[in-house]
Amino acid sequence: MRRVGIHAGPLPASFLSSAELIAPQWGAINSFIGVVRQHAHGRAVTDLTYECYVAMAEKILTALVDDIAAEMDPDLGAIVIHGYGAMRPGDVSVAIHVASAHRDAAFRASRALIERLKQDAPVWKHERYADGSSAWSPGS
Amino acid sequence: MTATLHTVTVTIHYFAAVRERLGRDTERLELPATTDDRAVLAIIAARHPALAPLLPPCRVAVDHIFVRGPVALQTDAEVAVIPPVSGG
Repeated sequence: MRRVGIHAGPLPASFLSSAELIAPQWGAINSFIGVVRQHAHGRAVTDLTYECYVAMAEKILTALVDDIAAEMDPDLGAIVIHGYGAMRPGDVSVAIHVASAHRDAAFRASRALIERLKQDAPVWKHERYADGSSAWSPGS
Repeated sequence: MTATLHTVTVTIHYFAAVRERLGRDTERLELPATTDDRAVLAIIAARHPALAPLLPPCRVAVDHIFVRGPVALQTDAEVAVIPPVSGG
């Protein structure tokens, strides 16, 4: 079971659940949830917009999951969803759920997915701050 | 002897700070059919000097795949200038 998606807007609560990955072949499920933070680069964030090259983002996320499965566990289960558009601090922007027979691959795959997504997903964060200024985030 | 350069017309897609500075998100452009990512950015910089400072850290994608180095472009290829990303 592998699914990737790009979602318009903050992710609703249903995306926080890894229940779809509960299955007897997988002894371990691990999740990463990305939440819009109220501070960035020492400034208070009032709101932000994620711009997304949607068609490419879907392909990149699919490739990331396939690559990580090939490296860590060919039977890996995974759900990766990235939100885009207007968001506020406290909104959920990313949900990653992985499932593997054993916990080592589950922990490693979940970590690898967010790290590589942050390097390669064609998504750009434009933040607006309490002092009225705004900026494109340099990324991590 | 006259050398002929085979060119193709493609659509360039701009995003984020580059899109903002240019004031548009796409344009049709003629590019060499045989080229590389750095050359594509150089052509765009020459055409839009205001973008020049923003382009060096950018990547190039063709038909949704990152290109590093040489690339063969087809007519109507979807070329994208990818500034440093900040998703996740």
